[in-house]
Amino acid sequence: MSTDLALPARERAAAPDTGAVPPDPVLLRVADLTVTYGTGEDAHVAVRGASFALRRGERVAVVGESGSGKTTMGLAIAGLLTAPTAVTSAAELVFDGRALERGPARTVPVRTPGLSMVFQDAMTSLDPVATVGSQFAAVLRGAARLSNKAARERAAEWLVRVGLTDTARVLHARPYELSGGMRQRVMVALAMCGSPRLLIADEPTSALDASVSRDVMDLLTRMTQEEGASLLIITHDIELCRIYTDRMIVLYRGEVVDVCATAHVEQEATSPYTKALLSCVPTLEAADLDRLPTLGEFVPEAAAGVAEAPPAGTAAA
Amino acid sequence: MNPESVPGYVALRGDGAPTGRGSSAFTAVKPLDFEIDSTSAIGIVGESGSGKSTLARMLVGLEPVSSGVVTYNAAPLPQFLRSRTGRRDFRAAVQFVAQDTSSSFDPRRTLGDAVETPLAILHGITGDAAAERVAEVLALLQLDPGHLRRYPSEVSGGQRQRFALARALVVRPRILLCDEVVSALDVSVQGTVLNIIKEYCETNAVGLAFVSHGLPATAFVARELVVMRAGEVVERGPTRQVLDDPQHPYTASLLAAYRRDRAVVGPAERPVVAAVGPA
Ligand SMILES: Nc1ncnc2c1ncn2[C@@H]1O[C@H](COP(=O)(O)OP(=O)(O)O)[C@@H](O)[C@H]1O
Ligand SMILES: [Mg+2]
Repeated sequence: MSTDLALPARERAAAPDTGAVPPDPVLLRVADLTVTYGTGEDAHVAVRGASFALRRGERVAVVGESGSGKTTMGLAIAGLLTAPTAVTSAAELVFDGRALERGPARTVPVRTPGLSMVFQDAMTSLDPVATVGSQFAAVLRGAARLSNKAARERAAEWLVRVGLTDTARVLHARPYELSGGMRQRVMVALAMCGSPRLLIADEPTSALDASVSRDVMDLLTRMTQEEGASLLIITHDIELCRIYTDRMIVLYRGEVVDVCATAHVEQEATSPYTKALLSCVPTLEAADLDRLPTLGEFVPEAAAGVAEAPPAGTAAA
Repeated sequence: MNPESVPGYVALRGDGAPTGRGSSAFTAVKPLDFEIDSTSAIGIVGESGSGKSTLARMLVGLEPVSSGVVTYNAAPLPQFLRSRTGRRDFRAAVQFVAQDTSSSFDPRRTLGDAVETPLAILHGITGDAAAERVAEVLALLQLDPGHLRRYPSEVSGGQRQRFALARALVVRPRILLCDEVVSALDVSVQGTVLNIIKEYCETNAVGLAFVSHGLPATAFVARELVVMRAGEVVERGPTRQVLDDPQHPYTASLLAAYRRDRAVVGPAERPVVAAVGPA
């Protein structure tokens, strides 16, 4: 597994020459992150000893199958997991030069300045009953201490930036009054308006249809680039990851099995799982096949009982 | 009623512009001619908004056709669907599965209930016979029978999508229409489900219409490809032929876009990100 952190040439060249001490090129450093759901007999380790680093401005994908621990890892980094449901531990968890407090004793979610997270379903990220305008105001007044009027103007600017030009209507709308694609845009604008250094996006396009998902990925890429933010994109979609990310972290049953440059994943992947996964991505040659390749020894169903169990608290009685 | 005796033949003949609603509204005025029987394996491709889903929904009576007519076994479908027995016969023969959404299943009913109900309503099969057929279909789709007791929100999206397929196949339809049924699945599960769909339809002589934005997946299950743009069919032909020798510029552009996306490894062509210091 490669955790080499040498900067690619283009980023070194682009580092600003301010004369001051250059910022640490690493924005997020994760070492030995472990998350366990439940206790005692029900304890289930969803993420086991994950280590990786994320550079400033970098786009990194976390790929893996359903149940592999992608969401859990994102939530743990974002500070949204709390004991006793989930117990988090890490040897190192440093974001933007500061250690993140994610110890096992934490029972309330924390907001981490500079870090936002968006989810697959915009309805989960957005407050369903508050108008878009008031949701912006809540973020902007908190982050930038803006007055109501200034917050409204700033919100309108953000809406335009994400391609929603009918700002008056959108600001007055409640999320359910918008189309799915519009909601997703609002969600991105809301996540970015606090000027985060890192945006964690959990399957941001999985509920959208193909061309809309390209639009949303383009938007996420553009917005994070314009803001100089890093993007950690959690996805099961390898094609999407190939198009939009610099590196990929492959999770298999809670463990990081590969960290590779996306462009060289075929050469760099060392784990048999990653190799098998890549061989499953269908091509047009599929037209001539009687059977598509599947994961074979890594039968997802074999792990289904463990891996695809629903979140605790929703299990059938 | 013996399901094997249900003939299946759905045809859509439009002599004008079939209209969908909202963003999927068809703007084209070209006639649309489309039929599926139990020997079909048709893949319908096109970009979002091209009318693929609308076409599939029109074929099963879920979307109105403003001009032109959908027929089932040569009788106009709306007329068929007006009577209870007509609806029952149609649903027994033609099943539609859409992309998994929160509205695919009734949240208050268990998955077992959802899969068994069509058997009871459409074929009058209940009790042990129903349980046997359900078990068969679950095994086919590699689903855990233990999940039958669960509610839709208590399984993963991938599992729910397969339950939706189970609910359709349990009644042994003659025609299966699938709208983006593998799009939300993990790549590994995708292959498994596509293998199942293809093999099931071939061995049981079930006609398949498969709507998807995924070209490889569609090319795999379909013997014939239909390419749609803005509500019209711009090209159709044997799968290999359409892929190797597209006749319409739109088909060629779809294939080019697909190849371009696959050729791009990493965002090298996208603007370079400057390193930024802490705010
Ligand atoms: N709230 C929870 N309580 C208990 N187990 C959970 C909870 N959320 C997720 N899990 C389990 O943790 C594992 C990882 O899940 P998740 O992080 O959602 O994976 P992914 O996002 O890759 O699909 C799975 O086995 C899942 O069932
Ligand atoms: Mg997830």
